[in-house]
Amino acid sequence: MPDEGGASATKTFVSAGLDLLELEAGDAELAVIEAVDALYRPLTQSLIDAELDGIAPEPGGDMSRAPRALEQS
Amino acid sequence: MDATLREQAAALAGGDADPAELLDATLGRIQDRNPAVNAIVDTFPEESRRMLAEAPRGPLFGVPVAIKDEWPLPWRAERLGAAQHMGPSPSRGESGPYRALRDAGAVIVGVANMHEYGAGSTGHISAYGPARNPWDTERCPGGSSSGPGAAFAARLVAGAVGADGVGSIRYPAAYCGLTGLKPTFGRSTMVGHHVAQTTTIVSGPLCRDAADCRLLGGVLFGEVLASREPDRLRIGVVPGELWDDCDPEVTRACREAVEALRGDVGGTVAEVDFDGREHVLMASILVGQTEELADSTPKRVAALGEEVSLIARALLRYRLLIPAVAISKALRVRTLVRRSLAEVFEHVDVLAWPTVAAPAPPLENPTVEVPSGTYPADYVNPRQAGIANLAGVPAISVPVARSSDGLPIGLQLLAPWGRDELLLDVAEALERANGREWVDALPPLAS
Repeated sequence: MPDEGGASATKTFVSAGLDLLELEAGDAELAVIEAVDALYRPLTQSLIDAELDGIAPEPGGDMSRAPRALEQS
Repeated sequence: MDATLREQAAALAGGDADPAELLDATLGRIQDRNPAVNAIVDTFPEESRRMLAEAPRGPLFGVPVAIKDEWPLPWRAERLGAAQHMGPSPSRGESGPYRALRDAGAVIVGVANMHEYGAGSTGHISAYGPARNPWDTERCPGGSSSGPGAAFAARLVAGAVGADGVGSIRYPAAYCGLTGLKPTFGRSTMVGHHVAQTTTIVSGPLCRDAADCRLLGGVLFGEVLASREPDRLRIGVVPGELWDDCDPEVTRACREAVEALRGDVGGTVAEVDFDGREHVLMASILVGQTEELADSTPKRVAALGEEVSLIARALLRYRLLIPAVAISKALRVRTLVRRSLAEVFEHVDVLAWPTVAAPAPPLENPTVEVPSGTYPADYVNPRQAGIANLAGVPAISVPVARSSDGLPIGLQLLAPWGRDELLLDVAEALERANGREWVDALPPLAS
């Protein structure tokens, strides 16, 4: 769970983001969003922070098949 | 009526049962038993009788089946378990699963409930009211294919068609004690699905056992799924939270099931691991959710009224705030995981871990307790199931035990791309190793 500062940052992020989209949210909706964000923000942040530079791309990736062999990419 | 899908098909094909009588009996059972589970949200006897009258002598001639509220039918547009649709209005039509069932001679006898917009692993939210778990009607049946799972478990039908984008066939299979196959991406028909651009969602069967999934899955695949005896099976287990951060009863039951399977097939069990595991939960959610974002606009989200659940209204707003960099990273994790899984599958034939971390939670409070804490089931479940959708590989949930509360426990098996038949073979071996105790078990409501 985020600390108090994290919770405050979440409130600011959500409110500002919805304002920019001109999308209203009631108190109940905001409370749900903040609870969801408290759970998922650390995982999202970890993903954003991840250094994934060395991964060769899979152009035209076909999910129905195994990826092409590493040496072919 | 309590016969398996293949037994019903064989009896009808051999003239030992009358298809019109079976249809009437099925409709009668739905009328009697469905109020307790709310699995079927719509029946249409005239359309069902018309399907039967025109049914070809296919592999499912005259067999009644249910289909999730995610697929258009010629007489009914899908509603996605929601009171209000976001994006282009759905329309009636011949979806791929409808055509496949029709051409196999099956009779669609009802539309099955689902978690609102397909956005949950529990089934506790739906415009029709929640579907209920036949093993304990105060418990979640699993989602988003909640109705197909509850409909089979209550023995309203012998088989149902669901869809799986982040585990949505496997969760109800585990919670309701049935067998659910998430096919290799692209192998089962997806024609007419509302997320036409999906790279994660598949149609698939929910049935009593692997043999019935082979039959119904083959219909959805448009091919016969051959069987063979698995021999010297190499089973891979992944260390860490997939096994350890589960209800101890679940972990123990699934370990025993793996050991029983190993003994039955004369196989081996080895620890293996894959890269990117720490990001799979978030990556699978992000990839799955953002595929639907193209239909989302602030105006459309704002137009959702109070008949749509508070959770959905909040989540649809939250999705509009997802940072693009996170989505880009999620796609890179997908590449990493696919490559790593391909390497793992050079050393093992199947991977195994619990389908869900804990048995079905209460409808009133769908949270689960695992060693790391108490969480919403929706938070923990994608960690167990999301990788198959992220990578495209097939996966199956097989019932392997019941908890001390009498709730089903499911073991998940994953195989390389295109090896759906192997999963069915292995699931059959597991059923045999368990003396079919768990696949043939009936909930009190259906006894």
